[in-house]
Amino acid sequence: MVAGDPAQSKVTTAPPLAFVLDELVEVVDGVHGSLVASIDGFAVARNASMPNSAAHAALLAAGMGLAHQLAGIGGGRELRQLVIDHDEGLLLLWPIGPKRVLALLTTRRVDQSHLRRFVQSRAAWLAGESG
Amino acid sequence: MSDHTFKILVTGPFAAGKTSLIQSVSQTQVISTDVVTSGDESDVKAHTTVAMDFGTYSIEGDDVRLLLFGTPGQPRFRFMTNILKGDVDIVAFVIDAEARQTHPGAGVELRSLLAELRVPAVIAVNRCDDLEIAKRLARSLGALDGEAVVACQLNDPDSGREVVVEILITLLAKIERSELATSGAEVA
Repeated sequence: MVAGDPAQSKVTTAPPLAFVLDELVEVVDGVHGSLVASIDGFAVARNASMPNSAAHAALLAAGMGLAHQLAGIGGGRELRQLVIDHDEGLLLLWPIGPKRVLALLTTRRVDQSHLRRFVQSRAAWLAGESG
Repeated sequence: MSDHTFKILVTGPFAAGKTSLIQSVSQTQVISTDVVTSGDESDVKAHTTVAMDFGTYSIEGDDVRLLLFGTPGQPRFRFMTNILKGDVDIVAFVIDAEARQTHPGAGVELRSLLAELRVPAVIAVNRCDDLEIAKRLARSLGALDGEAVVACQLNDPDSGREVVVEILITLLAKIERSELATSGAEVA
């Protein structure tokens, strides 16, 4: 487990955020990396298999910032997900609460319904709104 | 860019006034990627640009059109500047006169960017009313004698328009130099 934010490691009733991210990778078949970043480009936590790169959090923030505007082209007001479909699989970006983004590296065959249910069940922890 | 459409890169350090400049002068709705700040940066301001700002400014109908591309200011978003700086006609470099801690890094960034892009620059010294002070600050950042300097208050739209006027004058001078070079080559 790797926590980017020491505040997340304090002993509370909620599990450390990195624990939730590790659990996500272990429980949901097809997920091989997970990272939570702040919407302004700082890493908050990542699972053990994610490389420790500060650039990733900044890239995620910029991508989400642009995606919010791109949603507006279709008349959208709320961005639900950003999907990067590449030759090695998928990168799924989901807003988690008003201040965070969850990034998931997955295979193309991942069960996104199952993944979404898992994330929803831990949304408060991932968003930093619990514990 | 086409003959009468010019790409302006609006860049400079965090919280210098880049978004304010674009918002104050754009004649079309500004595309903005502002988000809430966190950590130490939230002590400086409440929102920050994470990808880009985009605005436009036209004169004489649509005969001359400026496309204003604003970058984020923090080093962690430098990759956005690298994306946005392609095919730029002018750099508008915004610096906050009162944020002295940003000046050394801004000087390095300014000279490095201009050495690479080889385009003219307009240096907008925000939160400054005195042109002489603005020029001294610009020189301390490494600005060259020919580079335009504007003292401005970018929370005031009129002040933002003064920066745009300086951009237009700088563009005109660039075009004239280019035409002179072309006619000189034809004579030779």
